[in-house]
Amino acid sequence: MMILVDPIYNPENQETITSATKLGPGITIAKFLGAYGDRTSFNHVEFDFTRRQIARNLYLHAEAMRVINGNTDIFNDVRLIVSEGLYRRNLLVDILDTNMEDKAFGRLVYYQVIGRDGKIDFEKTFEVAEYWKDYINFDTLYLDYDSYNPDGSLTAQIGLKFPEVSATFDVNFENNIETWYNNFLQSRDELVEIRETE
Amino acid sequence: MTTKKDTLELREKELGSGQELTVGVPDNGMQNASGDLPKRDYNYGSSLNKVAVGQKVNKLYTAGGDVGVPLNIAPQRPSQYPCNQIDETPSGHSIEFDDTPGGERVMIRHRKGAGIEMRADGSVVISATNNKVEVTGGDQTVIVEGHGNLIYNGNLNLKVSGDFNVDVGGNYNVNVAGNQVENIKRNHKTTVEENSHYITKGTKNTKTVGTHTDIMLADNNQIVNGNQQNVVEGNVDFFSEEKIFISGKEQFAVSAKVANIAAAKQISVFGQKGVIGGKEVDFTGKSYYGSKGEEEAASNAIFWGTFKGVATEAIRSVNADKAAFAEVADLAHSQSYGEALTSGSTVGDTATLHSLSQEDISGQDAPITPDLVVDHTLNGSYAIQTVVVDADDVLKNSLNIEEKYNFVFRTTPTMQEIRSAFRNEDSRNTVSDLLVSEGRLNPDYKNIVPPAIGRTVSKKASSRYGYTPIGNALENRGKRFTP
Repeated sequence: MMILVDPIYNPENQETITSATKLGPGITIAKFLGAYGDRTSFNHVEFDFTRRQIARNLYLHAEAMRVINGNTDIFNDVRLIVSEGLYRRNLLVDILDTNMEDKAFGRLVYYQVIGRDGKIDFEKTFEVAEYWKDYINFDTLYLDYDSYNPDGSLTAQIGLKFPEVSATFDVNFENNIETWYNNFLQSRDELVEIRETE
Repeated sequence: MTTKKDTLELREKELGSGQELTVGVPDNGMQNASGDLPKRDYNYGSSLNKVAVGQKVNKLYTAGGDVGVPLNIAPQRPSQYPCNQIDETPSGHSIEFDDTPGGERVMIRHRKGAGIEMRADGSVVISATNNKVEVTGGDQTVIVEGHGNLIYNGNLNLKVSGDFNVDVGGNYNVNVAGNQVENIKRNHKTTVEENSHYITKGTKNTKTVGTHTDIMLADNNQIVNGNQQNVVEGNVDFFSEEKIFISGKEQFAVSAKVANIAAAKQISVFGQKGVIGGKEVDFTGKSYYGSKGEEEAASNAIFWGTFKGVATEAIRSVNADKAAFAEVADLAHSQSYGEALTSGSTVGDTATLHSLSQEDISGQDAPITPDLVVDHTLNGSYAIQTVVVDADDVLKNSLNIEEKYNFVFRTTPTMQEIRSAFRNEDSRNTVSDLLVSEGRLNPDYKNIVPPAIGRTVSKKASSRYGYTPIGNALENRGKRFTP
């Protein structure tokens, strides 16, 4: 599939790629750097071709975010935030892990859906995942729940994994969906809403 | 626009002026000529605005809050008719003056959700769905009586042409995930009224082109776990009004072309063995002892070369010589045959011996004995010091938590950082037990059974209710469609 890229935001048209490079209206690369799970600067990416590759990968994420944040009819009361963005790999422990590699190159990003109360909106999280499933293309969409909080409370995230985007933006998507709980696969090809109580 | 082909006059003549003026105007006054009103939602219904009668509540675009940052916007109650005066354009822009009891508000809203809203509780919500530009020609003052939260999900550039003054009544906390760089074109001055505490977990480099002066008005402690090098190209002056004590457990060496050690009152240089002196070194002192102390002819010391002065042995030789000579002279005198006596001897005199006072031997040991050296180096205020800095790396490990967490985390992890790191199964297995023991992770983190299940959807596109009818009749609005 050839993606038609807005020339204003096409990383290939940018002279240099920095954290201020825009990927969409109101979305810069910086949005994927300051995720509160993976805070890092862009300085650790030294080579321009790597930065450009990351920018192309993140462009698809910016489009996915725009689909939600721009939909004021359905998602007016929630905010989609990047909870795990660009990841700076620890070469001692992460070098062989594919998940971390996907995160390090901007292919895999995790999001949270935050309500007006500043907390995760679980219902809308499921609806955002379902909406993405229906309206955008991706390699894998992870509806990810866990009870890692010390108090055992539930946390929900949505992971979006896109394939490597070439300079021509000719991309093939697999559109897989998976549901995970505590890093254990609950369901493949199905989104399952997990709740704290019945 | 009138042209030559304008048939207005002809039409007025044939149809009458009244007919011409009503072209396109519906007979029914409830309809408009353009057909954009009534809007589709109002077909076959009341023409009263749905917002005015409380069937719908217009909202500005606010989205949600951020993590831990609520918007604190109370839900807006629907309007009561006829309290809400709403003026809405065909495309959806609206201005509302709502007097609904408990829900009084004024709102100017763009059809996309941008706008300004003054709410019943006095809150003002300003929303921009795209960019927002504020330009102030003169001064601007912002006074906030409560708390404030500023969240920029992109970069933030702050440019101040004049001075930038920050006055903080409480604490000033800065957390930087990346680097912090400060470039100061002139001077930098920091005054801390109480204590300062700096921790550098990596390498620290300080470069000073000019003079570097540290003034400490109390004690100064430098504690080094590794090696320390002080390299000075110029002079080094090291002064103390009291004591200077240097202890090297293994070695202490001083080298210089010219070395001077002078003590105004007392000096001690001693060791178990070694060498003192040089080709042209003079010694001045009160006494010299061999290692066995005051033991005649066996004090375990050897002198090589010329000895100027009188040794005990030499004194005895002189005395013995005198005594023998006197004995011979006495004998000659008693036998009445004379012999000229040489000087220094008197016939009939008793031999006069030289004093042996310099040989006042008490038999004591040498002042420097092996035991003394050992005692001096092990005990007392000048003993060789044992130096142990951060035994078992307790302090180092408490600061450098990277090793503690097996290099999975560089700093004490937040819950979200733990969640992120756990995408890597190896990391998960490596640090999970430690995190549980520290209370940072739910002990039940391995549970793979969800507490409860809600909705499920398959991979196929979901059916959903339409929100914006496209070509549907009003009665079909609720029809499901599949994207």
